[in-house]
Amino acid sequence: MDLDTVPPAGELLIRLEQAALKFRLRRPLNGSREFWPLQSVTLDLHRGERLGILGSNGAGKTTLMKLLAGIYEKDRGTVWRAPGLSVSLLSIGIGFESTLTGHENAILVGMLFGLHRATIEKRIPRIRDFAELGGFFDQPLYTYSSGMLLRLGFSVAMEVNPDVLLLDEVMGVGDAHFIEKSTQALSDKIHSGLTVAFITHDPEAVRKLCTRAVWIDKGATRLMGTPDEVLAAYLLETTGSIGAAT
Amino acid sequence: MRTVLVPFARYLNIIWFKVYANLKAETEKMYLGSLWWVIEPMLNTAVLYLVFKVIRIGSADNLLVLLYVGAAIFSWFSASVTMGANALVTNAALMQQVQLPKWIFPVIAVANQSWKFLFSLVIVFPFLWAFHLPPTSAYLALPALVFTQAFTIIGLSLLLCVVIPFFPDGRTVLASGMNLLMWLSGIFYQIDKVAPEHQGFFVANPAAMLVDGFRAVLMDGRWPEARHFVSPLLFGAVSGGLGWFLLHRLGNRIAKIPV
Repeated sequence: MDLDTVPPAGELLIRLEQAALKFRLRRPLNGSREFWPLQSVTLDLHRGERLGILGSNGAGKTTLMKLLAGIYEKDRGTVWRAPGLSVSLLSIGIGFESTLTGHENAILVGMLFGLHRATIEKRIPRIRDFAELGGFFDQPLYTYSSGMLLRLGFSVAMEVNPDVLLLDEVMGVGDAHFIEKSTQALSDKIHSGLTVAFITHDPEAVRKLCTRAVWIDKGATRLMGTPDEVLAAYLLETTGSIGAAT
Repeated sequence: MRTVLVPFARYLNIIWFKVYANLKAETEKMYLGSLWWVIEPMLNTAVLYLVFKVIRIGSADNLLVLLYVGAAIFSWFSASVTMGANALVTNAALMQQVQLPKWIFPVIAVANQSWKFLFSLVIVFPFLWAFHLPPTSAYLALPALVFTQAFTIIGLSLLLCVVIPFFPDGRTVLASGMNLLMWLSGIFYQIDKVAPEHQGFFVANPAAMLVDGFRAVLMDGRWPEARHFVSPLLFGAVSGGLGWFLLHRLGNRIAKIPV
């Protein structure tokens, strides 16, 4: 076991026990108007943990993130969160208003992610520097390229420090220079002592960044444990080899 | 107390920024920008005046002012409730990414329309004075009327915004309902000219009472009566209370509805 990979010891923040969630469909799917993307998920998250969430496309990982964030409500099972817990699901570019400037959008999006206005205003110089948008920072967003939008979104997201940070395949963005810079910033953030749960398809990221991992398969917890054991089982089933990349 | 007030301050700031963004988006799309918030009610009044005066369908003293005040108050009511009712549907994408209390979205919609109404007041007062309707002490009742109307439309919006995601056809029903309400709220006529046996309906209709209350102050220099507040406040309180309860109970289910 990696020295960094320790059994959960911190205070319990979130616990899911056989949590299930359904969507009502307008058109029947396989003869049913109900679809259960999560059928029986059991996991727990402790303070200071970095939990990697593995699973193939359609396994229910994104829905699980929204359940953890409190955006969706479970239909069966138990979801417990520590009282007063702040949980943020980071998305790059959500909530942008095209007529507002980069500066104004940074304040708005920071507040949507849970920061108070005074806090985000104090961090504006850092966001401005990190995004490297020059004079465009004070221009409306409709003048931005898609790469510039990603830079701004990422720079704001890096200022969010909730009790639990959820990352749904968020990784380095932008051009070669900014990808390197943002990947490093993300890695620093994950290692900053925050409690983090993140979805990734990159086995290397799981090995390097996680203290624990969980494998979600067809809406249910298949395995939870150390990154090495979960990754080995997951890769063996999906690629036929425990060392191959997905 | 602090645990309630601190997030509330953040929600107020979000509402402020979203309203600012919506109004900015509206004004930047057009050459005349925010002037349209003044021009639009004037154009509506001109059309109504043409129909009711020139074609001689109706008559009243100061018909132009009667129509203007009626149309402005009703537009605020109807646009706010319609936009508020659709608020959760139009913000579905944002609701699926961030955890925010759902009441924020109808309040943004109502604040948006209310700002436009308040802006249009800039022209209302000189307009009234030009028609020899000078300010009176009854103007002191205007804040109470503005508050009552805001309370009523927020209450109705809170209830309707929960209903529409579950019953999307409600949007068509609401549009027809607002159309009907327009004819039944005394915009084109004075309510006290209606036959006595029908007066009860108008007293129960919050939109009609608000239109009549504003006219009493602005046109007649009279203080509003209790009836001008009773049905709007009652509608606002009952629908707002029910909407708040349903939002609390069903809020997270709404995020899962495909819209």
